[in-house]
Amino acid sequence: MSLADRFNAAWAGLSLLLRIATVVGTLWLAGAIFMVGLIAYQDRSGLIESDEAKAKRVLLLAAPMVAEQAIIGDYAAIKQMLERQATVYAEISLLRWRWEGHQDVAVNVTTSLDRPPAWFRGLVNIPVQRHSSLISLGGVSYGVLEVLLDPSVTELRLWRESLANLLLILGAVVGLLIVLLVMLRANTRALGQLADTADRFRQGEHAARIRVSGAREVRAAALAFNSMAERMQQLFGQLSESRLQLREQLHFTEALIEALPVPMFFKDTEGVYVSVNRAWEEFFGIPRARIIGRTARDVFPYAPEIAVFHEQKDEDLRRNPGTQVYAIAFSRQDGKEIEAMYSKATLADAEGRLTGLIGTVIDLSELKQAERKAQEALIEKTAAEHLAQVKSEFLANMSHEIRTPLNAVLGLAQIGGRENAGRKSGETFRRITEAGQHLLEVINDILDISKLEAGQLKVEKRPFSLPAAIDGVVNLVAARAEDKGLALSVRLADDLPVWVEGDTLRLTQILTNLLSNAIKFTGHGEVRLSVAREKEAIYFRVIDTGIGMSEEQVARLFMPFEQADSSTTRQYGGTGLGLAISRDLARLMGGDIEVESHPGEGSSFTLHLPLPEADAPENPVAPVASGGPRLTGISILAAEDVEVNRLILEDMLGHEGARLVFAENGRQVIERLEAEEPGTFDVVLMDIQMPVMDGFEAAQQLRSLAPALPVIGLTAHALAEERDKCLAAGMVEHVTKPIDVELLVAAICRHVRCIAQASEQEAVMHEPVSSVAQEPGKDVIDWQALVARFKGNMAFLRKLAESVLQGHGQNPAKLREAAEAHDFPELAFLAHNCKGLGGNLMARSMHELAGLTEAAARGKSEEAVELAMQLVPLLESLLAELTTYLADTENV
Amino acid sequence: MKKILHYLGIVLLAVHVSAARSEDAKPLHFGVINQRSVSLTAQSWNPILAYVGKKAGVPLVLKVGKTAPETTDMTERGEHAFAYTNHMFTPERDKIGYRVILRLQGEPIRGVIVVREDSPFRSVQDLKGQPVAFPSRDAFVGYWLPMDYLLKSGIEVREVFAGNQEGAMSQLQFGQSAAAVNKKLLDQYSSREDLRFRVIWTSEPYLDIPVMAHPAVPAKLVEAVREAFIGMSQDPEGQKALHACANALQSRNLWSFARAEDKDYDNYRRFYQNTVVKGE
Repeated sequence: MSLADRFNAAWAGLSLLLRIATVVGTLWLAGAIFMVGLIAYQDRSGLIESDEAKAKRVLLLAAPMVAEQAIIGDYAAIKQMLERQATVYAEISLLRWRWEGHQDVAVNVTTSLDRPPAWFRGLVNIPVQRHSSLISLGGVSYGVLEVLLDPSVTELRLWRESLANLLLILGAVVGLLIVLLVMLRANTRALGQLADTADRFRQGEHAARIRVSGAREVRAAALAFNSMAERMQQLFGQLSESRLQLREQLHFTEALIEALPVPMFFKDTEGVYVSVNRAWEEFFGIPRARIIGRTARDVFPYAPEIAVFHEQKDEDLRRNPGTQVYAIAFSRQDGKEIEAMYSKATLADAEGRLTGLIGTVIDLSELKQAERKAQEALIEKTAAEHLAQVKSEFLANMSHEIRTPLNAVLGLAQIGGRENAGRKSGETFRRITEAGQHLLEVINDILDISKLEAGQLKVEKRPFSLPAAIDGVVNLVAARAEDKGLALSVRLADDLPVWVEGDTLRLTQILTNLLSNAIKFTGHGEVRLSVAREKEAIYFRVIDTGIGMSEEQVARLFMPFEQADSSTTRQYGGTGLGLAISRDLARLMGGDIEVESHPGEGSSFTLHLPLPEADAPENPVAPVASGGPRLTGISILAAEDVEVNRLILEDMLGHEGARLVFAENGRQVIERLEAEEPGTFDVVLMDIQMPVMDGFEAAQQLRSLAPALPVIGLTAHALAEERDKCLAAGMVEHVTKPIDVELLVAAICRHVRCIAQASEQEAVMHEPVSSVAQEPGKDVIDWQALVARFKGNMAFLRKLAESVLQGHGQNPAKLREAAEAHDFPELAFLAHNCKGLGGNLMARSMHELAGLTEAAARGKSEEAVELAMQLVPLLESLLAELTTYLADTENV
Repeated sequence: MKKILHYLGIVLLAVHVSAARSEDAKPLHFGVINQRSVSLTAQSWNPILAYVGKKAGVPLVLKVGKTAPETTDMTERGEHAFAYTNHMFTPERDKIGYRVILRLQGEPIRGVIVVREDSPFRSVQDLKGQPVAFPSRDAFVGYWLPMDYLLKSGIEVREVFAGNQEGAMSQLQFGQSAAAVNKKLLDQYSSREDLRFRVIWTSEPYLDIPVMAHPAVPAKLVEAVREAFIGMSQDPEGQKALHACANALQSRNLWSFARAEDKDYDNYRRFYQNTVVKGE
């Protein structure tokens, strides 16, 4: 071991305190020695100077005395004096006076002092000093005085002083060292405590902390340790908590895997099973104890090729880590043929090293079977849907194809019936018409049901008058009830709204169906329709005293093509589609139909529909009088390519008094209109399917050619989309074939001022307007018509009257004000209101006058003011009549 | 006994002088009465003696005793070929035969009795019983003249001898009630040492101290020495020596020597014959 190694070993064994003590002690000792040397060096110079000064002083003192004695010649005195002077300073070793040619007096002093060590003397090297002084008085020399200094005295003095200095500095060094060590020991004790506490902390005493004391740095270290310990204690706490959570999670995961109904397995990188779950055991029929530690060959000992296949797949996955999915068919040990999907994934540790693989086995056997079945089902379904589509299209086409000739048949039969009225052939035409209409109903039903099945049927939401709709239906079936001698009664609840929002056409269809059925299946007694309101829903109940139905019959009631009994069909006729359609329609509108029936006790059908109350539309449809030449003076351009249809149209409309001009296609319509003066035709009736130019295109062109000319579409397509297309092309209405003359006239009258309205207007115009209201005894309101309209429902009428009084009570004043101010927009608005009011309340004179007033106001004609002033008393009379009605019926 | 010594001295001096003459470089002793310290005496006289010796052709060496009496004893014994002294006019010493050859030019000298400026003593009468410093019993103006007056005035004082003139002045300065000193020397001392004094008695004037030659010194040599001293103030070398002397004494006045004859000092001799002061 080298010296350096030995030193290093010894140094490593020293405590911090000893190290500091050693280093500092050594440094200070060296410093002390250096300082002593420095002081000695300075002292040496001082002492040498001091010796020199002493020598000079002796010379200075002795010289005049020697000179005096020399003048006197007392040499003995000189010797005595020199002996005395030589003892003044210990350093003097020789004092001598020499007077050349006269005297030589020398005094030697020998010293017997202790001497410092030779090395010290060598080191300080005090020189031997020799000083002399020439004695002269008044220019006469009295010899030379010489003094010799012994260095040993100075050496000894310097030695002693140095020793004293050394001791003093050493004392100080030792003292300081002790102070330093005491100070350091206090801090190293804190360090020791730090080490001790750290050790305790390491051994698990996590609450161990250090008492903070000592120097700032030591305190900082202690604080840092305490804060670290605090943090670590927290972390340990969190760690153990997380470990617990982890264990719970692990347990959960294990339990989950175990509980999963999917067979799962884990293999190591050698393909050896590490674990499997219960589902796996059950699937393969092998307990895990028998397979863990083994390979696929032990799973399939009977089918080595399967095992080899799996091993190859495993190998592939190991080469390209990730996931792998494959399906395989094999026979299980129990002989069952299995089709299974293997999903595998590689497992890696935190460093990304492959540790094995995890896999699931999904038994596809049943799934495959189901898939096959589904496949078959899908094919069947597609075929069925296709069939339905074909059927739907077929029906639509059929409907069109049947309607077109039926239009001709019915039209001609109607003409025949009208022209042969009262004759036997007239009855024949009537029967043809009935049979044709029945056929039309059947076609419509079939069309509806097929549309419902195809989901193509759409219901609309428009405000309509509920009493009017009910009125219409009752009118339709009333004749049939009367024929059978049945009492048909209608009961309307008091709180029914007048205007509701919904599909009036479909409501009419359902109610007609229900009432028709009731009449059809009731031999005697009565059929009753009661209408009630419950919140937003309206309940229509049709009760009969008919044959009733058994539960079984009720159950099959709404099935298409079903009637209560096949014999029923024979007995009562019908397609058996009506109820099915009704219920589907009711459901489509958000309502339903419920049945209560017992055989022999009659039936009760309840239709309920959400029909929210609506505001009255601004221009309600004016009622059109029936019968008579209603289209007198109306000039109509009709486009129809089929000749029969042209004949029917000409007969129907000509009978109503209209002047009819025909075109055979859209092109001819355009040409005709271009050729004629504007205003020649009041309306255009437009067939859709025509050669050269169809109805849509012609309507579109007419929009720019004659925008004011209304175009009404005529089509054999009853589908809703047909109507939408008509409106989109710029037509104002759409009437389906076979054409019902009533419907067509009504449609025309909606857009053209017809005779039905004009006659009333003329009546008003011919009479002095002011007398209309003032004529005593004649009511503004046609009360008879109004009561008939609302089937004598007094409550409803009262409500209507109240509503009118409330909403229009201020209108006479407003009208007057607007007239006086010549405020035409306000006049137009108020007149329009009056027109609607007159129409609704069967006050025809007011309706007409209001219409005129509105037109004049819109044209900003001064005539409007005068008309308005005539309208005011009419309106006031109407309001007075309503007030009187309310007063008269108050206690009824 | 004294006489035997005296004659022996003369013989010795004669031998010595003859020897000096024969060898041309034998130094002759020059005595100077102790008016100041030996050192100051040597510093002031050595340059003059060196010049005169060189000029006269015979080296002159200063030889003095520790005190004025010792020096006077030496002169009495004939140890000095030349002596600067006024102690040789007593009837006893006059018989030895020293002859006056030179004197210092300038004012005659007077003896004075002085007190310090702040002294309570106003007159000589006040000094009765008081200690009075004197240079020595041989000092003519410093002792003989004032003591003669004091004795004749019936004033008895306590005598204190200081050894030389400046010693007596120093005694006055640092303690004694009064001092009797040479007025000329006092003036020099007081200006040098800043002594403030008051004169309460002054003697008759007497010629300053003469340089005397021993009867055994050949006349020719005496004459050479005399000429050297007299011509000194005119000779640049001599002036240099005189300046050195004045510097040593810190005096501005240069000494100057003039020819003097023995009879010029007969008043000294007469005083000694009439005085009531007892000598040694």
